[in-house]
Amino acid sequence: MHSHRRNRTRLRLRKIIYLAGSILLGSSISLSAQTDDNAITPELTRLGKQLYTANCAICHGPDGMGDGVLANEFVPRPRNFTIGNFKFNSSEIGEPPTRADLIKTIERGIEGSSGRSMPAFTDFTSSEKIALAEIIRQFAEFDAYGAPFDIPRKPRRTDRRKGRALYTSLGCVACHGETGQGDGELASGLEDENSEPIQPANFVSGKLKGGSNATDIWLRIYGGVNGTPMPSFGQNVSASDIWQLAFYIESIAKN
Amino acid sequence: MLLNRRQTVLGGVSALASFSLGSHAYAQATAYQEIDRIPNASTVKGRLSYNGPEIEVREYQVSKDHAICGTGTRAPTALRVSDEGYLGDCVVEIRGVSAGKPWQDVFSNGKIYQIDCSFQPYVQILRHSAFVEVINYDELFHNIHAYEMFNGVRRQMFNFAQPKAGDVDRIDLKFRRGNTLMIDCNAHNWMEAYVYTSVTPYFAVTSLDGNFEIPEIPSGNYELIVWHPVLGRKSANISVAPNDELNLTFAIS
Repeated sequence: MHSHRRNRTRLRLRKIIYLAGSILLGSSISLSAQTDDNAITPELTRLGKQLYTANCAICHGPDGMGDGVLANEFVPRPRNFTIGNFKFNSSEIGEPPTRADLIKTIERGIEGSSGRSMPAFTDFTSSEKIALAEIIRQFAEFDAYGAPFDIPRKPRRTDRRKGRALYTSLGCVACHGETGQGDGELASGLEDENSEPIQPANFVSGKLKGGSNATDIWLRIYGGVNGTPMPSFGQNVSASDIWQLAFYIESIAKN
Repeated sequence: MLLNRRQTVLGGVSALASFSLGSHAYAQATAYQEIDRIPNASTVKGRLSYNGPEIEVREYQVSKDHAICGTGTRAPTALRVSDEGYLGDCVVEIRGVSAGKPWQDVFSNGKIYQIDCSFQPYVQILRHSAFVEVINYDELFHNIHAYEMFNGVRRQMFNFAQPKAGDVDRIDLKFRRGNTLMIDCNAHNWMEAYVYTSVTPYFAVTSLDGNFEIPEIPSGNYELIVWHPVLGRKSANISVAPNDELNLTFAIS
């Protein structure tokens, strides 16, 4: 019953998002300044505010608090930037996201096994994306972007058996399920930082919100997904074990 | 907060501020100065009791890890009220002391133990700049999901996995806006713990019989904060005279 209602809601939301996105994207182009200057200047900040108001505020709210007019339509809710947490980071655990992380989310949007929530904004110029990232940084009140984490080199050999053993021994099964379909015994009771229900990723769908290649998956296992029950394993699991686990999950997603 | 007559007379409580539930933005005080000798120091001590209605606590089915977590249902610690009605786990803080006793080292290094699928201790107090070591004693997967609480919202500070017994992790408390850390475990929903921090060492946690004592207080006018994970925050103004011993006995609901 709940899943039917949720699916209907998702379909309706998808339509709203694409409609709103296409209208707003059209209006945003006229606001853009055609410059490749990446320095954070008052002009760039002004541009970022204009772009944000035209494209992002409808969901994320005028002040970045995740309370836009469409916010209540989404599960999970649009990000409240002022809280200062970002889900998909390539910086060290506990550090703010890199600018590239924010831009990647703007460019690619967010699409997971439960569907697409954040649309991909593909028409922005490089400086427009930098301007938008700057506005988000200001909402979040972190002084500087995080530095990219130096990911340990991939091992040459993929050990699927070991990856599968780690998938069990590290407790992935409890949420993501035996076969990676997001149906583990804890899956139905999980909540995000807003105390809203949240589903574990269904790897079999092939669509992972933070990206589906082994490097993306490595980062999610290493650093966790902020604001969700997905914890960071980087403190207590070796980089090479995380690689084998990432390869295993990637193989599920590819099949 | 109800203040009895004896406390009003002895305690010199000047006025009660408006009480409200929920966390408040933590106003960073000016730098606290540690001094070796406090002339005419006073003590504030007392006993808290609970006179509110019974609070319903959500229970969770233990669906896995039965050998360590047990069977049936488990619930968060929530309220611990003695048979006589005294309330444990309440933080009592005197806020506004600008110069006073030195910090003890114990407040700079907190510990959180995961034992039998519960966090120990339930409520602890630490220095605002402290670090916490989290130790997993259970031979099973726990995750330590910690939030900074402020203005009725919570912000994730960290969330890391401890897949096996013996895992120990150090966490530096870097609050952005609040002063209270809430910890839960997504793998075992009933697990909860709280770390309340202060910028001065004038605070205490009530024991299970409701008692607290805060010694070596310089005379002055301060804000008395009472905070409990379930009951929230309450405050009152307090006057501490030289060489005084205030005995505050009050009930909260």
